[in-house]
Amino acid sequence: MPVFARVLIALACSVGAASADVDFRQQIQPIFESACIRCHSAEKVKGGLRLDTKAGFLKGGEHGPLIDAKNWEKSELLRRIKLPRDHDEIMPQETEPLSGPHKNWLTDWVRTGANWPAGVVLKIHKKEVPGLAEKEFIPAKAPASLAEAAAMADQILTREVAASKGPQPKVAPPIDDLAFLRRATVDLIGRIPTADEIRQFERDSAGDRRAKLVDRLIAHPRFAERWTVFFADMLRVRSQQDGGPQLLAYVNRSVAEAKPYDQMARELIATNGRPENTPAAGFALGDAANPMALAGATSQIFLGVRLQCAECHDHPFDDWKQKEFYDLAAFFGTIKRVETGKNVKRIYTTEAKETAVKWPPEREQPPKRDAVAPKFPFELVNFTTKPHFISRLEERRRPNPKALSNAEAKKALDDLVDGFDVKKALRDSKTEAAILAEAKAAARQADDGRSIYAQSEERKKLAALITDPRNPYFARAFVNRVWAELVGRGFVEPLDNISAYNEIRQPQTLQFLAQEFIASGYDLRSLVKLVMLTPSYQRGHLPAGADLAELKRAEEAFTATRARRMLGEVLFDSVTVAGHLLTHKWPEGANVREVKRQIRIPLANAALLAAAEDKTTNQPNMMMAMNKPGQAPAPYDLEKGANLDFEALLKPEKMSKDDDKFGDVLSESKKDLAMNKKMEDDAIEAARQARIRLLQSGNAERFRLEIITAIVDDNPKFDTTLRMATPAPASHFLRVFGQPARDNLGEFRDESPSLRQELMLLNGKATHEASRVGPLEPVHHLIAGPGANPAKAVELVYLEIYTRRPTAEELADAREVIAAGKTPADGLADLRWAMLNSHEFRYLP
Amino acid sequence: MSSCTDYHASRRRFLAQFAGTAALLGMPINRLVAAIGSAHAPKAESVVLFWNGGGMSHIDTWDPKPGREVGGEFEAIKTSADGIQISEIFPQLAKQMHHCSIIRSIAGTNGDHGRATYELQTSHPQNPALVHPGMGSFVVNERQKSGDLPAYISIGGMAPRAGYLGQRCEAYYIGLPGERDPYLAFPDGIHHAQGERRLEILAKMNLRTSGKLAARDLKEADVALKDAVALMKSPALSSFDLDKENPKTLERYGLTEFGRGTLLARKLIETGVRFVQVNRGGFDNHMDVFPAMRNHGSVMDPAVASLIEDLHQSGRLEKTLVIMLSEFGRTPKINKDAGRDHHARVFSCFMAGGGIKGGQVIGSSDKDGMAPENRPVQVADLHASVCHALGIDHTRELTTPLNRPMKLVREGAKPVAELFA
Repeated sequence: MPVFARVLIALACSVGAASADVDFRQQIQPIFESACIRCHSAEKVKGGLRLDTKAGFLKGGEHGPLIDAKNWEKSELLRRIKLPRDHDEIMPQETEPLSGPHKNWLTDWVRTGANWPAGVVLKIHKKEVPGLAEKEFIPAKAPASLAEAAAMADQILTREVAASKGPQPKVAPPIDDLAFLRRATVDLIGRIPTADEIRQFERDSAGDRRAKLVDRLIAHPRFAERWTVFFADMLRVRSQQDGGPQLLAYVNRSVAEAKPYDQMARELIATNGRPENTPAAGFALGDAANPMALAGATSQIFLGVRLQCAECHDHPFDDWKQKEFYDLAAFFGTIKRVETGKNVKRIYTTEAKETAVKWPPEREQPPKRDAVAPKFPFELVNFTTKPHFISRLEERRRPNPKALSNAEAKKALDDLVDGFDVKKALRDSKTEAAILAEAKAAARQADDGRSIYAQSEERKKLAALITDPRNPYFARAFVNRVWAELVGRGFVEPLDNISAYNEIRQPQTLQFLAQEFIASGYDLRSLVKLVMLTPSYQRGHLPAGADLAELKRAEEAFTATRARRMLGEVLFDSVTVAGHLLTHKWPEGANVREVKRQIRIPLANAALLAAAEDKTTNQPNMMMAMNKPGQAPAPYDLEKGANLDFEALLKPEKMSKDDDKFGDVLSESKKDLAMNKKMEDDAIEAARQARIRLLQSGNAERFRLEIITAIVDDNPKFDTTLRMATPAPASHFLRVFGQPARDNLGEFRDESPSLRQELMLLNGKATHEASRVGPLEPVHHLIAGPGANPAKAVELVYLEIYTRRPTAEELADAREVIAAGKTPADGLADLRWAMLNSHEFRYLP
Repeated sequence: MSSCTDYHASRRRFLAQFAGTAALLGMPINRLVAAIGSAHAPKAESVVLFWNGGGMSHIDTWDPKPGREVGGEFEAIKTSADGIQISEIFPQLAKQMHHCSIIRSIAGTNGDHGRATYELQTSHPQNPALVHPGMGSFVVNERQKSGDLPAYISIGGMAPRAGYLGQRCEAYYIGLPGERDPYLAFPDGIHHAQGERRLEILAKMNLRTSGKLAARDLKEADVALKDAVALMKSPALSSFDLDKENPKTLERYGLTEFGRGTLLARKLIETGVRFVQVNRGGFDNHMDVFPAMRNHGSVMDPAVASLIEDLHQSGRLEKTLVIMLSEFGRTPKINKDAGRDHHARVFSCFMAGGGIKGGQVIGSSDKDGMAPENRPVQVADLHASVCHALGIDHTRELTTPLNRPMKLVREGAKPVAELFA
């Protein structure tokens, strides 16, 4: 029973004056089982005391009976548990002192007679890995193909659902081919399919077109972009943070190169260095290289276990102890974030000499705190015979002599973990810069001969433990996330809360999929394909009329899917694809018009404003930004975004002139620097004085408004949002449509509708431009000019926007809409606008 | 269910019981706390929050230290409230001081911009497991909008997030006050009749989908769409417009973004908006704090003073709580760059209207503005006070989407009773 339920029962029992109702089974037994009987039972009888049976308890130990029947307050049991932490006789000794409520429960129990119900024998309480116990539906035999694996997964699921208690769920029929095409394209490459892609799909033979499509999509260049979004959410990538852009580019490249997920996890967990050179170091920098934050993030992200609550106290509703959290954090104990450089900041992680993780916790203000030795709190599964999925993984990873000869292509697993290879960079580079780089590399060696980017042996060990195929959490946590991303609901919800106190739905199906994921070499693409081939992925929604309970039951049994809204990024990209906005759809000059704009003219002296500008920093100074109101406002900024150049971000950075950190070999360039600096300092001081004059003038922020006329040519072209710096600023289209801020663990996408979302689509630039019919897009000749064929035009628009053909009724309606427009093209624009704004566009079939 | 706070809550309840206290005492204690100043009937209906990002110097604004070395460049000036002096950078506000209260003894705990901002805006310490809603979000969660405009509007910068309260309680954001928000009207080139026709086509299409699907979200999306269209058509939208304002009024508030934002805030409040946050940055003055504060004064003083005066003239001041916050104060010591650094131990806050008692100073800092001297006020007490002014029970427990119980305002907060004396 979950602990909180115990608490509630206890609460209910203790209302009123008497607390005679302490429940032995609910309150006392768990305390004895978790804290006492490891040392005081049949297996080990410390101090001659057994606490697993009533007889043992009554008899007491070498020091006599535990209970003083005449004077209950003097009972030895109570004395021992209430001693201070460092007292020699405190109990328990092998684990943490009992918590306040536990002491209170025992006290009350003793006060009211210490009644031990007859026949109750206690057992050593073992922490159980949730959802692993049952496996009777999982076949012993390994599947021969992904298709067979998908069929097996469905058999397991069907049997699990059939064996479940309560009414059986309703089953939704499978979706049709075009709906599958739309769903799959959206899920795998992050936008709806184009008319060409629809035709290609329909040309494939009906028998295997779905599998073929999945193969095509998995090989598509946008696959990596789309699944970078998935990882960016999961890893909480923030491009505005130190190392964030590099981390995002690293994730993108890892997906593009089909890097095994376990390898990626090891690199993220273990890498130290400067993100410009070793981008995986951005992961630790995202949490400011804080051991506690990293322990919480690592367990929640990679293992799906919310250990974080145990940072401040024993986990309230789980079996995790605070000490276990510290044990895990100790793996990160020596990580150190270093910041150097004045004008250009250099930030990297390396190792400190001493661990920062000490026990007991600081907030308890203990007299003394000791360094905690790293200890992995999760148990690996101890298989008596090696299961096939591990053998298959080993088989897959057995070094292949042929492949090894191609050394460049086949990097050893931990190569990247060891950091940027300076020597290799030197070999690769033949310019003079290389010589400088070599000098610097030499200078980088600290006295003990180690690189300044020291790597952590402990974190490498941790990474190996986390990604061990016998770790029962790692693969399941990831499979759960991928399944939820594709099917709409995870086996475990929230996705990062695998716990004995949180029901796992259809646990054997999850376990089976995790095994297959391991056997595939932790290959994302195989996993995605496997999920997409299951009937669960291909189920439709329940029709109108189903009540909430029915919906819930069917979605938890995966016999029907939920109508998922497209991710914000996908929605935006789908609007631009449906509206042919990735290229110009008008000839240049076709839409030239005059617009009136209001601009702000500063009242301050222009020369003073210019002189006061801060030239030393790229970062916008908040006030100075406000002091520059001259530009015309850009009304549609909330749909724009700066795209990152992933490739450039992953090029190891050339040593730059102002990198004045590394020793005497650089004395020459240092002299240069000093000269530059002097000049710079003068300029900085001049700007400062100008700024002071400006601020004192009383005009620093004042302006007058002026209306100007501008000539614009409305012919916009949009870029994909999948490469944008991420998360987008608050209020940006992507954020309004649920992109998380990623500040905290466990932030998931908010799919709830809002007024702001509606306004951004109804009146946004992208929807407006996507609706207009331009002469350079295919539908144009079907709606304007001599060969016009409105029926064909409507069919094309339906395919391009809804990935289906119109019904007869819809066609008739559409023709009316077209006829009502000022021109047929205008009418078609109205139709497209309505379609782009409709539920059917946003929610997946 | 898994959470940290509910554990604490149940543990506390437990201890209370085993200590022999009546099980139900928890609630009455909270009620007693909430009832401080119970003679005071809530008068405020709306709030204008001036958020000064960066950490505004308390000594150079509300808590001058004349004659002390730490006092800096500015004189202390007399105000319309007997015995209250404020910095010379606010000459017009000084004339409104009989409407205003100053708290000079906020005992902050956090000198980091991010964490302090979070705490000042939400009342809760930052917690990696949960995002708490900002002040505007929790106010509009308790007080629904009146009229067509969004209940919560943020001007000139980002408001804090609504956190677990969700999209519904996020601020509507206005970048440049007075500029047309393109998302509130059909795009250029779409005239009214065409827009109406489009909406009709859309309604018909959506009806088809809703008829086929049992999806929960579709109903909510229909409501959101209806609200959006109502907003686009609302005459209240003209309150966003500043073009028709008397040039003298614009001049009075100041020909600055902040002046226009403050004027807009007044108009929005008059139209029924519950909570307007006016954002301003540039207070992190590690360097040259005096010219910076001189400029801040020249921009803020006319705007905020005009707001209070106008609200008073129109009789709305009683119903509108004006509050000015920053994440912390700045060091009394003036550093080598003629700046002041972060100082959280004590700082000040300014309030007016909303039924609070004007013309008073609550609490004090010591002679050099280093630490609270009298009547320390906790950060969360400010949030409890805002709730109290609006008649919201700040001890109310909400439930997050993950079924975690959460206090509206941080546990233990008390309204500052003197405000409501």
